[in-house]
Amino acid sequence: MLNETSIFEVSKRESDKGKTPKLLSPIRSYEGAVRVVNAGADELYCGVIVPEMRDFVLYRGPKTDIPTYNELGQVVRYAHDHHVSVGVTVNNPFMTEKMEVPLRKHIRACVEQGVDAFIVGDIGVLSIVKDIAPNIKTWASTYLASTNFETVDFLSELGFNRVILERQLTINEITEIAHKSKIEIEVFIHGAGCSNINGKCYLFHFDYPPLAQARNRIRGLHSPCMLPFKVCDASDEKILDDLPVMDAFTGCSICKLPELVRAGVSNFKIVGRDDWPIVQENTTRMYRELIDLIMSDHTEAFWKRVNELKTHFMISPSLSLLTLDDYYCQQERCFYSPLFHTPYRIPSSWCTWTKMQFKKLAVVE
Amino acid sequence: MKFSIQTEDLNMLKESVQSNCYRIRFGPEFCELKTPSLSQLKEAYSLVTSKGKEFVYVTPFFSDSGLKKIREHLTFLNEIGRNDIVVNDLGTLNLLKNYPSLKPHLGRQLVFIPARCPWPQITERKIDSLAKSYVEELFYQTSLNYISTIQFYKKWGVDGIDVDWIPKCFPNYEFLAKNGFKLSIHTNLTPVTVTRRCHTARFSREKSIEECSRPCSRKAFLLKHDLLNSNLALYGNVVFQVKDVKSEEAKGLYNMDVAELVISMNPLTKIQKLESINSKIRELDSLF
Repeated sequence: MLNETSIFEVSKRESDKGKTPKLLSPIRSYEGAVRVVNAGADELYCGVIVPEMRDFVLYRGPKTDIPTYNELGQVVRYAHDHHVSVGVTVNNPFMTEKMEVPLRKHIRACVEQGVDAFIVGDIGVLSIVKDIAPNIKTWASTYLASTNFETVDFLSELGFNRVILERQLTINEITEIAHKSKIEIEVFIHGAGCSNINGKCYLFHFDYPPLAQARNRIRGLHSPCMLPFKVCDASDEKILDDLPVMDAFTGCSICKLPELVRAGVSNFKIVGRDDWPIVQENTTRMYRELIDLIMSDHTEAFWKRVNELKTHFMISPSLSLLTLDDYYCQQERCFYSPLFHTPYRIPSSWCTWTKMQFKKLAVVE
Repeated sequence: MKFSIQTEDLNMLKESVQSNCYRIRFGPEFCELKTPSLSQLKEAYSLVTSKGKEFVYVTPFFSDSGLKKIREHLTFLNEIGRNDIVVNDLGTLNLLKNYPSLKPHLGRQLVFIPARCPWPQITERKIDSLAKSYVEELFYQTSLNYISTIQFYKKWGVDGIDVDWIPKCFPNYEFLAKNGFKLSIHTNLTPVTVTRRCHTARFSREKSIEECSRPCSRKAFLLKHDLLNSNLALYGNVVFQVKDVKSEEAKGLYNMDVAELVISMNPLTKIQKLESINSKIRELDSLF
């Protein structure tokens, strides 16, 4: 069995064959762009509000997106001045005739601002992007649920330049796909660790009144899959347990970076378009430092830094309300932890407090 | 109206072949670990066709190791003639180009329908009436209500699609039927979310994928929450919304060309024996 040092060495050796994976950071503002570019991002991604569709919100609120095309233009110019590319999400998980006119206008407007790529999550949306800007790069979103090489190959034939793999793959599976793939393979390294498959999930997060209330009261609750549920036997409705059975979490992959470099992945994605710019910046800076330590063969310094980060809080604007979510590392809850045997890790204090808050909400209801 | 039975269990399939359904869909829709062996598939095919019923093979989304396993299944089905395959993975669709006798039928995981969301929060927001009506219109669409997407899938030989019993979506399903897709409408269970980090396996303290003892074959769970007014249930690696099929809702299908209504056999629907299948078929048939 390999120890930490030998994994690192293999990682470095293998990575010499290819390039350093590019670090892709989320933003939602010009300020965020400046911060993450200066923190060492190689690429940025963002959403931009589609004016005619601002009320149709599934997962995230409009505050997650850059508000205007002018601000997008500023972001692109700043990024390009620093040799950083910009991808824009048009990753609606579906496309209909009713959305065509606003989306065409939107895509044209983004192209006019000089964006480098579109993140696309639907075949219909892809057809529009290819129609308007046939040469622009397209990155296949996780809405396309790529869990195997055949899917990557299929998307490659459709003209995608990059595929963002589904979160729930093992590093061995990622390695197999990355080694066979003719196009870029991107994986998640930090942020929202969905407990379900993104493109097959209808637990929409945005603006359902009870959820919005719960979110205001319970810090760290950002999606319905984090809620505790009474788990009842379907045959007799007897309550068996009361726990967050879907158990989504904020994940990181600091320990796994050497293995991911070795896997041949070309792009590392940080999730968090809705985060504060300072969090986006700090997360980017941390991963930049770790990737550079790997690629410059500073083994000891890398593991020393990882061990520090395992007990390190993220710098958050609301320092007074730190919860477990504010750690970089949450022990066994990383993106690449075992698929099944991960314990439910809600600390008892958090859980009691959460339950208290829910009781209060129930009274209000 | 025609009825088909869907099951991933050979014993349940043996019950279903005795029923009044016209075809049987065999195989796991959501979990690749439940993919049958080749000999089970052959047995299932033989049981179904010997009773004069149509056979449909249902496949889930796959990892690479799962895809390797089904290649021999596809070869078998391709050699014995034209068969429908329900695909829930673009990789499987890609593979089917090598099997000309097999007709891909898009599964529910390849057809995005926002209204599968168990809370209609999007349509309940306090926004102006014009915006609200646009939002509602989008909410009940499907990812195939777009001509380019239809043309794309037609090019790949897709001739049927799976959707759910969501009455407000029926007018949009009609558009799909008019564009030549055979519509299979699933009753009672609408998938809300799917995972590989199986919530049932984890809740049942299974140790690993390789060693999963399939607790889902024995148990299903209801998920209750004081704040969420939704009938959520956990079966295997899927959270479903459980719904009754109402007679007034069925009117929306009276003039539509629906190929079949699909009845699933599992611990959640509590349809596991011949009597319950026939009773369900009678109940649904009485609506039309």
